[in-house]
Amino acid sequence: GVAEYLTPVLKESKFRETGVITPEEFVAAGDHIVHHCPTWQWAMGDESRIKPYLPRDKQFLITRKVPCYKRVKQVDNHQEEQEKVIEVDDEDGGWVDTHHFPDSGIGQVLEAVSEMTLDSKSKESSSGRAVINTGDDDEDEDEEAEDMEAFEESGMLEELDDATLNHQATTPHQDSESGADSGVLQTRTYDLNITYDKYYQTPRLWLNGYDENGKPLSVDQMYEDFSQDHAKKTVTMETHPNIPGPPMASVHPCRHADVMKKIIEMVADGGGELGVHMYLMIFLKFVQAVIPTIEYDYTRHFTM
Amino acid sequence: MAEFQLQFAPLSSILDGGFWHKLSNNKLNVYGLDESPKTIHGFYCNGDPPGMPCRMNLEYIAFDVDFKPPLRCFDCHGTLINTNTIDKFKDCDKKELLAMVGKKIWQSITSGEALSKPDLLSQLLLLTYADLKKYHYYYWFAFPCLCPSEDFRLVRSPQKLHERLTSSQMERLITAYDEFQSHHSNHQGYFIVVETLDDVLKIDSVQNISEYLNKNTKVLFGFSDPCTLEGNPGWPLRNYLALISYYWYPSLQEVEVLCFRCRIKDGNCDISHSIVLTVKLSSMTTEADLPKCVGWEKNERQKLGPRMVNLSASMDPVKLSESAV
Repeated sequence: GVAEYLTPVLKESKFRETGVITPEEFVAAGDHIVHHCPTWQWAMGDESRIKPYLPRDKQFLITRKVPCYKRVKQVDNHQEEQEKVIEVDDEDGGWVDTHHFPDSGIGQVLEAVSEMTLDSKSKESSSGRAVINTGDDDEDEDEEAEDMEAFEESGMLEELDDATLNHQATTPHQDSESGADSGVLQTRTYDLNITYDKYYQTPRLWLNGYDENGKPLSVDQMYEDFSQDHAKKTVTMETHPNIPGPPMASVHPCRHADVMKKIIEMVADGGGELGVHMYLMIFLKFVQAVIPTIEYDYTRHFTM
Repeated sequence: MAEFQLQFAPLSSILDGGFWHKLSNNKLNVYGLDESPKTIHGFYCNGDPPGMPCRMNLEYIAFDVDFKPPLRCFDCHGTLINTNTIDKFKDCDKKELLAMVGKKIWQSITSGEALSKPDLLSQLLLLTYADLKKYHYYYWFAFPCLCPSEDFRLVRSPQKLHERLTSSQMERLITAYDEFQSHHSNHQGYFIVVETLDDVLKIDSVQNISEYLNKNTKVLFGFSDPCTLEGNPGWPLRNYLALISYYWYPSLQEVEVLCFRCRIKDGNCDISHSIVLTVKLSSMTTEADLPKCVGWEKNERQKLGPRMVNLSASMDPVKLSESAV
């Protein structure tokens, strides 16, 4: 957008004071995550969309086809055993990762995440983003599609091929632990991208969902995988800066810097110091509050 | 000794919105009414979490002329046939289309080209019809593979890799794999694993196999396996066994196959869920031009038929502007 075009690229680090990062710091933090969680990789994206302020081959980070076994509403009940205290050397005994939901009283970090809403109209218009109106979001049934069963063929050689394994498809709801033995899981998957948002000077998360049959998910289907505190508020549909195609779901970055600043302060209060290379590790952890059931590698075990 | 039928886990296609976007653009600006076969690329990987199906991915990069699969993924050569009408899509001869790609694979085997470029064994066929007024896309994938005169059989149940190798051998296998892949610009999906008497493990290209056969070494045929099941290999093994049988059967009656799976978690490479198969080879010689060829993907109802995806909600400019604030 125009705002992005006019915003100068941040050169000097304001990371500790403001929670924002420079493109150089984004690359350093990205290198760190690629090294420690190799399921994440750097990508170049479309040649014509390369941003000059980032290295050509390090335009954004991507992890592909991450399983998402359950919808958020299926796990929308507080489960003690899934809580995990994250070791932070402060007097309050750290903060808790519920692995699922930000819950009031857990800690200020997750609270701050759950506060991430589009509260400012002026920001909204200046960034030129399109918020999806979910008022009339019925599946598109007014355009008639062909009857797919009429296309099925019989008498093909594949019917007689004994060497093809017949999928014993299982749903993850039945028993996700023994899923590997009992057959192939029918599950949704997500591609996650992290770009550098020049306007907000923070990382920005993008999501591309696929259904159990490998087809792109609609926005409304994807909302089922966002925590209800955030769906329709912080998740917007916009054009990906590096990838051609239809608009993609994105967690809006307008509150990212505030949250990062709070975490940095919290660590500083505990006497620790947060290196900027840790930025994306923490970022991945806090966006988990928005997408609690997408099982990407956000490396649970790290020391601050 | 009991023998089992060797069954391969089929590939499942997975396509992003960017692929359909690019196809629509190409149909409008490049192909026009041209229905001739076009070159595209898919890719697969061997690092999925347990329980995931074998995936064949197609993204917007599928149309790139100088296609490069993402890091640690494997190239699959594709042929796209985009028909102009739904009737043409429905009525075209599916067997003939499959045979067209099957023939390509067979020629690459018999000419020896697939020995030096085994990635030619990975081929896909995609038949599409794009209704650009409604943003409805009809599609049907085939992952063609050539069948032997009698099905391949397993001589014993699949072994887990840790039953076959010691943990120090597995460590060395990971090192050897990284070393081998570092010599290629794209990751290679097919290779051989050489085990010498003095316990050296080496990974080499298929075309160098004659250096090791008839010596005091054991050769395993290795391939990068997108399958996560404990009892079955993934689809890419089928054409590899066709190649192996064509060149080394009947002098080799049984071969060991390493279904190499490499999952990365918390920065470490885990290959312990890889499996080793002992396969009884079969004859690939045929009187006909082409061995039997199968591979059409089943639809959601597990029937042989195409699929349809409706992207009007995310691609139709009218709907997008309605939903924008």
